[in-house]
Amino acid sequence: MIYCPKCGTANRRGSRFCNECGEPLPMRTALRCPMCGTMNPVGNVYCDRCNARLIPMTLPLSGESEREQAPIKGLSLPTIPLEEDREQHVDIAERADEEKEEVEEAAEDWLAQLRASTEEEKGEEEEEEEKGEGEERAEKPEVIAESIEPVEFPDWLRDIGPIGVEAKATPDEGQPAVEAPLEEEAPTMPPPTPAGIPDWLQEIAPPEAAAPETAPPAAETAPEEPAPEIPALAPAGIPDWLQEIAPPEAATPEAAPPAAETAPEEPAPEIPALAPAEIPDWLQEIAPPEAAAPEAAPPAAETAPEEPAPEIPAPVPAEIPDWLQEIAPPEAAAPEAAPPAAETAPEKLAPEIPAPVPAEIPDWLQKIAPPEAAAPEVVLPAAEIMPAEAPTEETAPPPPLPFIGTPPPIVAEIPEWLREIAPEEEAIPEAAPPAPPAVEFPTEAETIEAPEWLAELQAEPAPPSAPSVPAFEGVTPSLPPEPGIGMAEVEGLARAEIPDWLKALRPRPEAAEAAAEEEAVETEGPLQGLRGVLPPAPAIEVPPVRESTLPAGVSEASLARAQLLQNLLARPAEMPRPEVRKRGVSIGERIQRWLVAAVLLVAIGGMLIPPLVGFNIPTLTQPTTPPGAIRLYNVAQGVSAGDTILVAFEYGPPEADELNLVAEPILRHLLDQGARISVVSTQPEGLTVAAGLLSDIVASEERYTEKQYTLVGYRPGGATGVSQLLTNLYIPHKGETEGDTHPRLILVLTAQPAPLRWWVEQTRALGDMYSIVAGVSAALEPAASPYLDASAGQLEGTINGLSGAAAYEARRGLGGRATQRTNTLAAGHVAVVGLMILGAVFYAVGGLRRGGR
Amino acid sequence: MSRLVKQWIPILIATITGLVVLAGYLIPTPPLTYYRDRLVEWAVIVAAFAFILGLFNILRVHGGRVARLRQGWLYSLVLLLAALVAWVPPLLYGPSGTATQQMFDYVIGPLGASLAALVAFTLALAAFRLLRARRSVGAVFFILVVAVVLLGSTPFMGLGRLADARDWIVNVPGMAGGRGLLLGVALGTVITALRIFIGSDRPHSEF
Repeated sequence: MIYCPKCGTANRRGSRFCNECGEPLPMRTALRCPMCGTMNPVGNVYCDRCNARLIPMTLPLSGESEREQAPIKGLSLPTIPLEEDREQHVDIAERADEEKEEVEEAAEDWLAQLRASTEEEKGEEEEEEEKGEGEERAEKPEVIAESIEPVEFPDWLRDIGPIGVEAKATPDEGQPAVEAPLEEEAPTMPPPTPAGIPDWLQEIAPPEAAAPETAPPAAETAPEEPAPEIPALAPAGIPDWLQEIAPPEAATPEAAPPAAETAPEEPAPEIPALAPAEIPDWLQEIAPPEAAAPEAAPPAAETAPEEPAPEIPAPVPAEIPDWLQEIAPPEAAAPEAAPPAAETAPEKLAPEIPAPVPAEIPDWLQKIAPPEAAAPEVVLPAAEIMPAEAPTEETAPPPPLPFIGTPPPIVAEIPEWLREIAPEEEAIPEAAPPAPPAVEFPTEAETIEAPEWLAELQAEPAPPSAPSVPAFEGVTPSLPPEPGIGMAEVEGLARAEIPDWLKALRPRPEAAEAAAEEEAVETEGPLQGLRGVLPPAPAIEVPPVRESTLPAGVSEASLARAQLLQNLLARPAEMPRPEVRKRGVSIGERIQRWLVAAVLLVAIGGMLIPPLVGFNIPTLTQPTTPPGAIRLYNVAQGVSAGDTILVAFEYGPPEADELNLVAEPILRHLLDQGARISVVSTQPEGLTVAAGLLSDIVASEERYTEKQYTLVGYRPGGATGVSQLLTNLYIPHKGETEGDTHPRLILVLTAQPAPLRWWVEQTRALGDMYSIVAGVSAALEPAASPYLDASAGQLEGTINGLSGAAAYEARRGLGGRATQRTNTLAAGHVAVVGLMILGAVFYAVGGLRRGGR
Repeated sequence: MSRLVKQWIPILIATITGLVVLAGYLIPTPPLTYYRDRLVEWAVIVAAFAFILGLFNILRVHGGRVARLRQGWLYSLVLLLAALVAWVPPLLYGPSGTATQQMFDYVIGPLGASLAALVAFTLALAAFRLLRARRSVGAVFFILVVAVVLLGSTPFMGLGRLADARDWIVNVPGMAGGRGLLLGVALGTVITALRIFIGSDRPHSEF
C-alpha cells in the first residue's frame, strides 16, 4: 500500500496518483520515524531502528506531526481494511499469552519434580564436597541436590543456547530442543516462577518429566520474549539421560508436561519449532548413554539464561547422573541416592573438559556451584553460578571480568563437575570448592569433547593477575562441553558440531589477558578486586582543564583566513588612501607642452614687449563694429550731466585684466558725460576692484574728480540683494544729502552669467523703470546675446571682450589700452589656432600610420 | 512634536514667504509690496549672516585639520594665515584704502591672473591634442569652428570675411544654444520654486 503524503489515503501499490485527492504519489512512500527520523518501509508499524511506533494510535498532538506523518484516513479502493491488520496483531498477542500460560503450568510439574529429586541428592553431595574441596574440584562437579533457585540468565548465555541449530530428530528421543536466545543476565536472582523457564529448556523437557505439582516454570522462557510454538514433546522422544534426572513419578512419559514446548508460547519467529525428535546433537551428545532412558529428564539443567533458573525437582538419586547431581543445589542433592549415572557422567566428562585454572573459573560458572558447596544448607538456584567459596578479603579471587560476548576463560574456582570433565593430565593443583552447576550435563558426557576454550584454559594456566570471570547471578552456563576436547567419547553419542556462533563466543585468552592487563583493578568498595569496573562519576563534575590548542586537522587555508581576519580587525579606523599611481610623462608629451608654451610666449610676448621698450607696433587687426557696442555707445551718449549711473562690478581680480579694459572706455565715456557713478557689487571683492579702477581713471584725467563716483557697498544675497537694492534704491551722493538718487542707467560689468541674469531679471521685473547695459567678457558673449535681442528688449547694449572695447574706443575716436591689446590678442588667437591645426595634422597622420601597420 | 517643529513649520514658513513675495511681484499692491520688501530685506540679512557662517566654518574645518595634523594641514595653515592677513587691511582701512588696494593689486590680482593664464595654456594644449583622443568628423568640424571664431574675433587686415563668419556663428547657432540654456535655467528655477512652495522640495529641512 502506498499512503498519500497529503491526505493519508491508502492507495494500491503501484498507483501514481492518489485516488482521493489526486496528489502525485511517489514511487515508494516511506514512513519517517518520529523519534529517530529513519525512513521505514510503508508496511512497518514500528521503526526498524528504534522500535518506536510509526503509526500513532491517537490523533497527532501538533500540526507538524500531522504534516510529517499524515494519518491514514481511509482507502480509496476496496482493499484490506487497515483495522484488520491491527486486529491480527492483537489476536496473535493474545493467543501467545494464552499458550504461554498453558506451558507455564505444564512446566511447573516436571520441573518441580526434578527439583525435589535433586534436593535430596544435594545433601549427600555436600559432604563429599567438603572432603574433596581442595583436590577434586575440577574433577567431580557436584550435583546440586537442593532446589535450584530461579535465576535470570544473561543474554550471552541464553544466546549460547541452541539458536538456529536444527535439532536432529531421533526416533528415540522425542524431545525437541528449543534454542532460546540468550538475554541479558539479571543482576538478581528472583525465585523461579512458572514463567521463568526458558523456552529451550521447556522444549527439551520431556512431557512426562514435568511434574504438574512441582515443575518449576524455569523452563519457560522470559515472558517478554516471544517463543516459537514448539509442539509438545512426545514421551518417547525424551532422551534417556534427561529421563534419568526426571523424578520417578514423573518418569512416565505420559505425564510429561508440555512445559518445555509450551514455554515459548509467545510468538518468536526466530526460534524454530522443533519436532519432538529434533534434539540438537550437542544435547544428545552430552546425554549419558545409560541415561538415555525414556524417563523425562527435566531440561532445567540447560538453564534458561534469560530468567531465573527453574526449580528443578531433585531427581531420583539413583537415576540422576553425576554431572547433573553436581549441578543441582547442595540441599537438593540426595547424598544417599547419588545416582551412579550422575556421578559417572561428570567423570566421563572430566577427561574431555579441561579443568580450568582455579583462578580462571568464570563467575557464571561459579554460580553454578554454590560457594559453599560442601555446606548442604546453602541453597543455590539452579541457574545461579556462585563462587566456589565465599570470597573474603584475604582469599578474594581476582576480580572477574565483566562478561561481554564470549565468556571469558575461567579464572576462578572450578566446580567439581567441571573438573570431572577435565582431562586427567590437566588436573588443577588447587581445588576450589566445586560450584554445583545448574547446568545439567548429560550423563554421556564421556563421549562429549570439551570445547576448545576449555582445553585452552587447561593448557595455559592463567597468570595470577588474570581477571576472573565476574559472577553472574542467576546464570547457568548452557554451553555444553564441546565434543572432542578433553572428553572421552561417550558411547552412543555422535560428535557434536560446534556451530559458528558458538565458536565466535569462544574466549580468546590472549585478548582476555591483554584486556585484563589494561584494565585496572578496583581497590575499594564492594567491587574491590574486580577488573574493568566503570569509574564512578564524581559527585561534582569538574570541567576538565584543557589547553588551548588548535583543533586537530586545521588546514593552512583556515589559518591564513584567520590571520587575515585578525589583520583586518587590527587595522586603524581610518582607511588609508589608495595610492594613486602617478603616470609618468613621456617625452612626447613633454615636447608638446614645451612647444605650446613656446608658441604662446613668442606670440604674446612679441606683441607685449616692444611697446614696453618703446617700439610701437601698429595695429594689425581690422577694426570691427559690433551692433551691441554701437547701441551701448548711443545709450551712454544720451546720459546727461548729473545722472546717476549704477555700475555693478560683478567680477574680481582674476577677471580684472580683461574686464578693466572692457569697463574703462565706458566709464570714461560716462564720466565725460558728467554722470555720477554709483558702484555696487554682489561680490565681496567687487568694490575693491571698482575702487582701484575708478581711482586710476580719475587720476589719469584732471577733469575727473573723485566725487563723480561713489562706492555704495556690497549687497549679499545674490538676486535677492539685487531685488532689494532696486526696490529701495537710494543712492546718496558724496556731499549731498538730497538728490535724484534714482539711477537712470544700470551698467553691469561681469564675466559670469549668473550676476548678469540677476540684474537683467530683477531690473525687468520692475518694468521699464531702469535701462540696463552690460560689459561682459568675450566668453560670456553667447550668454549675453539673447538679452541683446531687440525683440527681447532686456539689454540696450553690450560690449563683448577686448574686441568690443576696441571697437567702442574706435567709435569714440580715442585710442586706449584695449586698442593696444588687440595685436597681442590677435597674435594669441593665431598661435592657438596654429597649434590646434598642427596637432590635428600630427595626430591624424600618426593615426593613419598606425592604422596602416 | 519634534516632527512638527522640524518638518512642518519650516515648510509653512518657506511656502508662505515665497507666495507672498511672488504675489508682491505679480500683484504690486501696497500691502503685498510692503511685505514683499520686508521679507526680501530679511533674506538679505540672513544671506549676510550665512556668509559670515561660511567664513567661520572654513576657519573651523581648516583649524581642526591643522590642530590634528591631518593630511594637508600645511595648506590649511596657509589658508588661515592668508585669511587673517587679508582681513586686517580692509577692517582697518576700508575696502578702498591704500593697503587694501595694494594687497589686491600686488597679491590677489597677480594670483588670479596666473590662474587665468594657466587656463589659457591648458586650453591651448587641449586644442593641440584634440585629434589624439578622438579622430572623427565632429572633431575636425569643431576645430574649424574654433579657428573661424578666434580669427574672426580680432581679424587681421584683409580677413574681414572671417569677422562676418564669426558674427554669424555667434549670433545664430551660438545664440540659439545660449537661449536654450537660458530657457532651461529659467524653467528649472520656476519648477524649483514651485516645489519649494508646495513643500515637495525641502532644502531647508532635514525631512
